[in-house]
Amino acid sequence: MESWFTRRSVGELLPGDHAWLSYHGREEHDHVIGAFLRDGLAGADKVIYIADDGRAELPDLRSRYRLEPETYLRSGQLAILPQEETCLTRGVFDPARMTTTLREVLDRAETERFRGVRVTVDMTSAFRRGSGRDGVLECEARVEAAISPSTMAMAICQVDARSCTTEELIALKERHEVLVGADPYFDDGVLSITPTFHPRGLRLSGELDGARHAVFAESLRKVVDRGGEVHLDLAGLRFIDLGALSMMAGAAMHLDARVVLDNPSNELADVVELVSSRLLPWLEIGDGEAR
Amino acid sequence: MTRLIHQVLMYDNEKDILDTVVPFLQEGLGAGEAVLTVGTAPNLSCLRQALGTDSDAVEFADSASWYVQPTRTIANYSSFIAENATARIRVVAEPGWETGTPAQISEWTRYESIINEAFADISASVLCLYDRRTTHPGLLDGALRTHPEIVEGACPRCNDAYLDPAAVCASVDRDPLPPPPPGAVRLPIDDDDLSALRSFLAGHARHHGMSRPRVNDLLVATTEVATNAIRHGRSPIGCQMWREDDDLIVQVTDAGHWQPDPVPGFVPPDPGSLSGFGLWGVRMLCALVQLRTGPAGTTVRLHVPCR
Repeated sequence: MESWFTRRSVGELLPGDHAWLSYHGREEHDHVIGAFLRDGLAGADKVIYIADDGRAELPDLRSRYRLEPETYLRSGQLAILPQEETCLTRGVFDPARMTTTLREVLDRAETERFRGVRVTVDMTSAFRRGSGRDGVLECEARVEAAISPSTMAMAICQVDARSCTTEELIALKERHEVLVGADPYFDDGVLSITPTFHPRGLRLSGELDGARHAVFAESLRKVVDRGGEVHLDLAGLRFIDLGALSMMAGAAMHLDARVVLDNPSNELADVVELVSSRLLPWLEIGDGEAR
Repeated sequence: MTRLIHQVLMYDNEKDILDTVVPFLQEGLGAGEAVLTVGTAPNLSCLRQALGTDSDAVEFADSASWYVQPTRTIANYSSFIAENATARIRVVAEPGWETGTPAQISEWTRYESIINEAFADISASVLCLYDRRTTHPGLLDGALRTHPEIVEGACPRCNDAYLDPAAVCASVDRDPLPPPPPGAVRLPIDDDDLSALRSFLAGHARHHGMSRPRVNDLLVATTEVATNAIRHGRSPIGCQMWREDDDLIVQVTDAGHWQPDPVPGFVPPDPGSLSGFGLWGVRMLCALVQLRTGPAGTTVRLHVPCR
């Protein structure tokens, strides 16, 4: 029952959004959080990263976006706050302290005349400390209370999905109204192409025909370059032409990658089946699960 | 023996079938060949009975599902050949068609002719069956022009009426297409974004009560043909659509002079190469595809059944 949540790409986040990201690896983390930080720094937002183990957690802004973090740290637009100083008391997660920190940060940003405030905090290790789970959940409720009414602040709470149980993830997710995901590689209102990380691939929505083969080829190349099995989530795809199917098969054939078409509509699956017997032994239909 | 033997038997009664077909099948089974029998339901049951336990080694298929349209039939045979790549092949092939529109009769005649070229290098014996009592004379005439050997009284002989596949294909594509009816709806194609074309087609197709899967076939096939016209043809490019009995017809015209191969898009492209996929895919999706090219430009007419 995910219909209670709003899904937004990181570029669509709005002030007042208290968003949730459960990532499945460094690549996904850096892709989403990197875009969140870049959008803030390139705009005029105060950007606050509450980190467990300091700088190492930050996506590499220099290689990704040619942004120099030092410049922004010096100017005060970027702040990296250790969790010890912001939300732990004697090594145990302390919701009250976290809330105080957050309120201070928001107030200060306002007086410093930033356009907005972006906060992100990785809850993964907090979860593992002392009264972790309950503390984190309480904290999430308080963050929600602080951010939601704000007209200038937005926050992303992150957790490494691989280090939590399914129940913990569900409990955390339910504390958030917005699920944040990667920005699309391409979106012109007719077709959107968004990278996915678990499984690795692309999510296609809308209509894909010859007019958009070039952008599709470029996106496909990006994901194939990442290596391994490629999943194309077609649940939102209303139309695909034979040329694009052929490009998918071509990618699989030339790069020796497995290309799996997940959740196609019945009509789309029929077309794939009709032409697949001989031409497209390289493609297979899947259900979104990596194998 | 490494070449295709393509024979026809025009029968008048079940005895003709039993006298010719049963020994033909038994010979293949005795030689360890991969044996396939495609036939009408009554003939399949008659052959099964006559073969007794030998029938276990024969693959049977019903004509009604095997011979839906030529490109799919060729794909079915290609799959059987691929699945039995190491064996010599023996096929009894009864199309089971009795009649059709003139265009369908021409297309099936072309199909029988293409077999000679497409499978020329396959080590196979194919015996086609036509029921002389019920089959349209046009189809029987076509079968006479497209089988190098004819079987009479259980003996094969060289067929003097046989024509080269290129000649048969050229004759099928020589007749001009009848003009679209006055009520045909039309839309110019002046943008490479074809989503507007698809909305136009889907709206009219639903108005004609076309089922959802067939609407999708129509959209995929038309998009492919229109994309081809945009990329390789010349403007002006236009699309027209009308109803003809149980089919919807979509026609895409452009001012270019496409000169396709003599037998374009009937044979499944090699899985190792992605060229030739488009037109083959279009033929797989449609009941009939008609191509005409001349000084006035290129016309591709697609027939898709409403159901």
